[in-house]
Amino acid sequence: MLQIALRRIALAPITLFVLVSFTFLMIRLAPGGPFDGERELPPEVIEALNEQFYLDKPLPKQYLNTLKQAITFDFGSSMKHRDRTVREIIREHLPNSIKLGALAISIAICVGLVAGMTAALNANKFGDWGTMLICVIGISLPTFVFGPILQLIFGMKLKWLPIAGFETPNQIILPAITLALPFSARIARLARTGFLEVLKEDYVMSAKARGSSMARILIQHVLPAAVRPVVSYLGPAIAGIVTGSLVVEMIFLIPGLGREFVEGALNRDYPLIMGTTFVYGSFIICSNLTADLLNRWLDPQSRGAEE
Amino acid sequence: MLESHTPFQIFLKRFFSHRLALIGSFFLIAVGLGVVLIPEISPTDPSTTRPWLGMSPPGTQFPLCLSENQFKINEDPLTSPALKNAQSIVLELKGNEEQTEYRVVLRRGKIRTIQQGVTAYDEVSFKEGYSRLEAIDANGKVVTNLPPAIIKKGDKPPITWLQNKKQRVLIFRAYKEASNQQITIEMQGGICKSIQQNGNAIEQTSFDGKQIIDIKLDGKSGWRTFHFGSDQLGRDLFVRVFYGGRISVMVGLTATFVSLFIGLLYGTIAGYLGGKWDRLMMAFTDILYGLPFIFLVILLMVCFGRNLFMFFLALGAVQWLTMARIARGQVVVLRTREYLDAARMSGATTWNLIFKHLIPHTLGPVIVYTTLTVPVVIMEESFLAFLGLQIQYNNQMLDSWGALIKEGIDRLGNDGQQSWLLLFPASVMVITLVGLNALGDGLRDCLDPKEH
Amino acid sequence: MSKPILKINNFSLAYQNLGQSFPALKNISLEIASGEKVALVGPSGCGKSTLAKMLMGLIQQQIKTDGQILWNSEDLTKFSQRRWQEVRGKEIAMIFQDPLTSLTPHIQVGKTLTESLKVHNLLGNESRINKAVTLLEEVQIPKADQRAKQYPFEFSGGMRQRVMIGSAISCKPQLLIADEPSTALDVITQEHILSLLREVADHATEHAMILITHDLAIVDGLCDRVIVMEQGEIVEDRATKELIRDPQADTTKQLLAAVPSLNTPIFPKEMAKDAPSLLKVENINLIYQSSSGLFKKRTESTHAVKDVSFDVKKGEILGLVGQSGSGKSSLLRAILQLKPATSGHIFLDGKDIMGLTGEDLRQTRQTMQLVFQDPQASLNERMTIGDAIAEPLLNFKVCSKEEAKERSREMLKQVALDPNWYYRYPHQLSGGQRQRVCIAKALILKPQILLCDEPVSALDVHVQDEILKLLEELRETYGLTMIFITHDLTVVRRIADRIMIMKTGEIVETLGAKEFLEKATHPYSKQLIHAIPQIEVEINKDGN
Repeated sequence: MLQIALRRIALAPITLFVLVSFTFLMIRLAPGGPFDGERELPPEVIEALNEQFYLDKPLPKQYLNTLKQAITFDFGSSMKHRDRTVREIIREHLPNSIKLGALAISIAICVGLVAGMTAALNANKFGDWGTMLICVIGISLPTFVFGPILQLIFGMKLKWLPIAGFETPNQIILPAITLALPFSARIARLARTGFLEVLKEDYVMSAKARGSSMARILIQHVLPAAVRPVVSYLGPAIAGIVTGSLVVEMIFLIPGLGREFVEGALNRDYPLIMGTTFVYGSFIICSNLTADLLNRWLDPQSRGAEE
Repeated sequence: MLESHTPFQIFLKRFFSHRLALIGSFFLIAVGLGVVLIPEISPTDPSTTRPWLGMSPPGTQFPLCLSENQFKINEDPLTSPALKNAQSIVLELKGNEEQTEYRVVLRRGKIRTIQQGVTAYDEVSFKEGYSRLEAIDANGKVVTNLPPAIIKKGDKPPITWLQNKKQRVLIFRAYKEASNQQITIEMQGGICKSIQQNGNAIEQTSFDGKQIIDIKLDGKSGWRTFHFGSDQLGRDLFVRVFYGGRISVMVGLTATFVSLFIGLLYGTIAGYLGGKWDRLMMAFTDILYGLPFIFLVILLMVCFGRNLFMFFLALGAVQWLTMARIARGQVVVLRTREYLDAARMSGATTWNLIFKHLIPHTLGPVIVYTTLTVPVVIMEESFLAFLGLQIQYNNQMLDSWGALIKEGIDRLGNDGQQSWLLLFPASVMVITLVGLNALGDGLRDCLDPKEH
Repeated sequence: MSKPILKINNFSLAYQNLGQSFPALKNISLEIASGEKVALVGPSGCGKSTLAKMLMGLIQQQIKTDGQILWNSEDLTKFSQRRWQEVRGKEIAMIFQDPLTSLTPHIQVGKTLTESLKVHNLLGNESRINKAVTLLEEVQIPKADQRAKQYPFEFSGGMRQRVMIGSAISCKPQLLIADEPSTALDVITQEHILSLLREVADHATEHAMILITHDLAIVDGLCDRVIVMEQGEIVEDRATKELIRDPQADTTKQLLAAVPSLNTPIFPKEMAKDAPSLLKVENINLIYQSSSGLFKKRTESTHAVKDVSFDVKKGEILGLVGQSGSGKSSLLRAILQLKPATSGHIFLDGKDIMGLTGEDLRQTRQTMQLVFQDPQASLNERMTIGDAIAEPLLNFKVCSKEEAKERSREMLKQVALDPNWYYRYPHQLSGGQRQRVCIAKALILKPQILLCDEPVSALDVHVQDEILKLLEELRETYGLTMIFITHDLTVVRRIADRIMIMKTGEIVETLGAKEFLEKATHPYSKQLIHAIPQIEVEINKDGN
C-alpha cells in the first residue's frame, strides 16, 4: 500500500510538469501578443513591458523561467493589473472558490448517497424509476442553464433569494445548489448501482442469517463496499466542480478564482493564466490522488498488497 | 426456452421494456425530426431580421416579408422567399406619414414670417387634416404631440412654452395621416408581373415590414406566429433553435467520432500489445487524465482562434482518453476469454479472429460510450459558447444551442421579462441531452452480458 | 426420541413472477427432533435449498405459501422481522455453500465470527477478540490470535468455510443448517471440512442439524436420517443405513448410482509396451513471466510446468489428475501451443511441432482438438450452435458451406442433440447440452487426438455421467486418443487407461488405471484416494 501510494504521489509532479509545459506552449506559440489589445502604446512602453514580463528573451529561456516560477509559486505581477501580483490575486479569490466548491461537494455527496440508497432499496419500483429519471435530467442540465433558471425562479419571479453577490450566507445558496446538481445526480446513480450489486452478494445474506438487523447490515456490510464507485468518482467530480465553478462564478458574479481565470484567458494575461492553471491543476491532481488512495484503503486486499 | 431468440431479439425485448430508454428514444426522435425538418419546411429562415418587432414574446404574429421589400415589374423582387414563391400577394399597408415642415421666425415673441420651403404663409391652421404636431426650437429641443393649433403672423405662438422672448426660430412639423394602401401583386415564376396600388396599375412599389397591416399570399394569411418568440433583431427563435440544433448535433457527432477513432485505435493497440507497451501507453493517458483539460481547451480556443477545426481537435483530445481506456479494457478482458482459444483451436486465422470473434464483442460498450459522449460534447461546446468562445466557421459565428442560450442569459432582463429567450433553446437542448443520456443508459443495461 | 423442535405440516411454496406461479415445494411434511442429524438430499432444482432458506426466512423473491412450519410450536411463516432477527443465528444458524463469497471482504474475520454473539447480546464479559480466538481454535485454525485480525482474502477456501462453521455454532443454535458446505471445495479440503462437521455434530448432541447435499456419499457417517426430495416433494424419508441398503424411490436409486465409487469394476485397455506413441512430450517447461513496474524492471516468474515428459499411445486415454493450480491446464495449453512452452519438445506422430507458428501451427490443429472446462465461456454467444460446429470445417476449407451445414447436423445427432437445434444459441441450452456442442465441435474435424480439460467438472452428477458415457461411445466410434484432465479421481478412473498424477507442475506418479488404487505409492496420490467419500455399506448396484 505504502509503495503504491508513494508511486502515485511521485506521478503527481510529472503531471504538473506536463501541465505547466502544455500551458506555456499554448500561450506562447499562439499568434499575437498580450499587449495587442491595448490601444496605441508607445513602442518604448511595449519594450519595457516585454522586458518586465521576460517576453524579450528566447523561448527556451522563457520556458525555464516559467518552470522556476511554478516551483517557487511566484508568477510575478499580472499583466493587466500591473500593480498586483498573481499571488495576491490568488490569495484574495481562492477562498471564495473553495468555500463554494466545498459546500457544493458536500451537498452532492449527501443528496447523492441518500437518493441512490433509497432507489436501490426500492429497486424496480416507481420510486427507483422516478429517481433515475430525475438523475438523467440532473446530468443533462448544464450548469449555465440551471443557474439562470434558478435565478429566474427564485431571484426574479419569487424574489426569495438574491441573484448575485457573495457577501451574505443566503447568497451562496443558489450557486451551491447549481454547482451540486449534476454531481448529486451522478453520485446517486453510482450509489444505486453500488448498493444493488452489494445487496446481491452472498455475504449480505449470510450476515442476515446471523441475525443482524437491516440497519446494521446496511452500515457495516453494505456501505463500505457500495460507496467504492462513489469514492473513485470523487476525483473526477472535484475536477468537474472546479470546471463548473467557472460558470457559476460568472453567472452569480462571485469574486472567485474561476472568473479570474476566464478573464485572464480572454485578456491573455500570461502570468495570471499560468498561476490559476497551476493552482487548479495541483488541486485536481491532489484530489484525484486522495480519492484513489482512499479507494484502495477501503479494500483490505489492496490495503495490504505490496504491489 | 422453446422459441429461438437471437441475441438481437433478446436485446430488442429488453430494450422495449426499459422505460428510460424508450423515453430517451422518443425525445431523440422528436428532436431529430425537428432538427431535420423544421428548418426545411419553415416559411422563414433563421437569419431574417425584423428590427421593427424587436424582442417579442411567443405567440406574436409577424408578416412573412423582409424589413424592406421592393417590387418592380418584370424583375426579380427584393423580398423574402415566401413572397417570391407566391402567385398573388395582397397587401394592406399603412400609408407613409406625410410630413410638412413650417419655419417660423419670431421677433419679440411674436410671429414674423411663416415659410414652407420657399412659399410664405400668413396663417396656417393645424386644426384639421393633421394627425400630430411637433415643434423644435433653435436649441434642438423637441416638443411632440402638441395640441392642434393655428399659427398666424403677428400673433404669439399658440403654446405658452414657446412664448419665451428669446426664441428666434421655431420649426413646426405637422404630420398628415396617409390613407391605407391596397397593393395587389401578381407573380409568375418568381418574377413580378403586375402591381396594382388601390386599383391602379403601377410600375414599382416598395414597402417596409412595419407598414403591413394585413398580408395575404394566394388567398391565405401571410402572417406567422413566433412559437418561441423572437430575439432583439426580430429573428424567429423557433427556426433558430432547430437550426442551431443542426450545428450542435453535427459538432457533437463529429467530435465524438474523432475521439472514437483515436481512442479505439490507441486503446486497442495498447491492449493488444500488452506488457510494457501497454503500461507505458496507459501511464501516458493517466497523466493526461490528471490535467484540467477544460482549462487547456479554453486556452486553445483563446489563443488559436475559435474555428471549427480547432474545436474538434480540442474536444476530441479530451474525449479520446476515456474511449482509449474502454477499448483497452475490452481487449484485455477478451484476450483472456476462453472462446478465443476455442476459435483458435478451430483453425481461425488472425483476421477471422478479429472480425468474427473480437470486434462484434467490443461493439456493445463502444456504442454505449458513443451515445454517452455526444451529449458531453454538445454540453462542452455550449459551455465554451457561454464563456463567449462561440465557434466560428469561415469567420462566421455559428449559432449553436450554446450561443442561443448565452444570448438568452444576456438578455433575460432585470425581472426575467424576456425569459423565453433562455427557456426555449435551453429546453430543446436539455431534452436532447436527456434523450441521449437515457438512451445510453438504456443501451448499457440492455447490452450488459451480466444480466443474460 | 425427544419432542420435535421443527414440525412442517403440509407446506407448499410457489414463487410468484410476473403474475405466474412456479411451485417449488409441494405438500412437505416432516419433523425434526432436537439432537437429530438429518440429511436433505436430491438433485439440483429439487427444492432443498428453497426449504432451507424458508427455514431461515431468507427468501427474497415474491412467494405464496400454504401450510405451517412450526418452530418450537410457533408458526415461522408468520414471524415478524424482529422475531426473525432473534431466531436467526441464535436459534437457527446456517452454513452457506460458497465460502469465498459468504464472508464480508472488508470486515475482519474475528468480527464476522462473533457477529451473531454481538447482535444477540451473548458476549457476556468476554472481549470480542478473545471469543473470536476461542472460536477459531474450536474450528482448528492455527495461529488463531493472529488470524482473528485478518481479512477474508488472506484465508483459503477451506479456512473460510471453517470460519463460517465457527460463526454458525457460536451461539449454540438448536438447529444448524448446512447448505452444500463442501461442494465448492476441492476433494482434500472437502474431506477436512466434513470431518470438522462430524466433530461438531458429535459435540453438540442436543442440537439438531440439517445437511443439504446432492451427494449421498458424504451423508453416511454424518446423519442418522435421510430425506430425499425430487421436484419439490419428499419421496423417501428413512434412516440412513436402511436407505442405503434398500433404496425404494427411483430418485434415491439414481442418486446412489451416481455416487462415485472406487469399487466399481473397470475395464481399461492395456496398451502394448511397444505400441506406437501418437504424442510424445519431452521435458516441457512453462514459465510465466509477469513483469511489473514502469521504469524499473521487476519480474516475477511462475514455474507452472516443470520438466514434464510423457507419451500417449494411439487409441489410449491418458488421465491427468491434479488439484487446481497444479499446472495441468498449463501443460495442456503448452501442448496445443495456445500458451507456448518455454522449452521442450512435442512430437505429434513423430513430427516435432514445437515452435511452429502461423499457417503451420494452424494446420496442426486439424489433428489436435480441445474440449474446454466451461462450455459457456468457450462458445461464442453470438453464433448459433450449428454454425459453431461447422466453423472448423469452413476455416480449414474442408468442404462447401452446404456440406458443412449437413455435417454439422449429422454431428449434432452424434452427440445426442436434436439436429433441428442448428439455429439455437448457446444461452438457450443447459450446461450439459452446451458441453455436447463443444464435443461435437472438437470432433467434426475427425482429429487424431482429443484433449479434454475438466470437461465434466462444471456439471451436475448425473449430467456428468451422461457426458462420460457419450465420450466412451465416441471413443469406440472414432477410435479416439485422448488426454483427459480432471481433479476427480473417480471420474478419471472410470474413463482412463492410464493415470498420471500432477502436483505443483510436476508429474509425481504414473500408473495403469487398474492397478492405481493398490499400487499408488506417492503420499499425494494416497491422500487423493483417501479423500474420496465412500459409502461403506456394500450395495448391489445392478439389481433390486
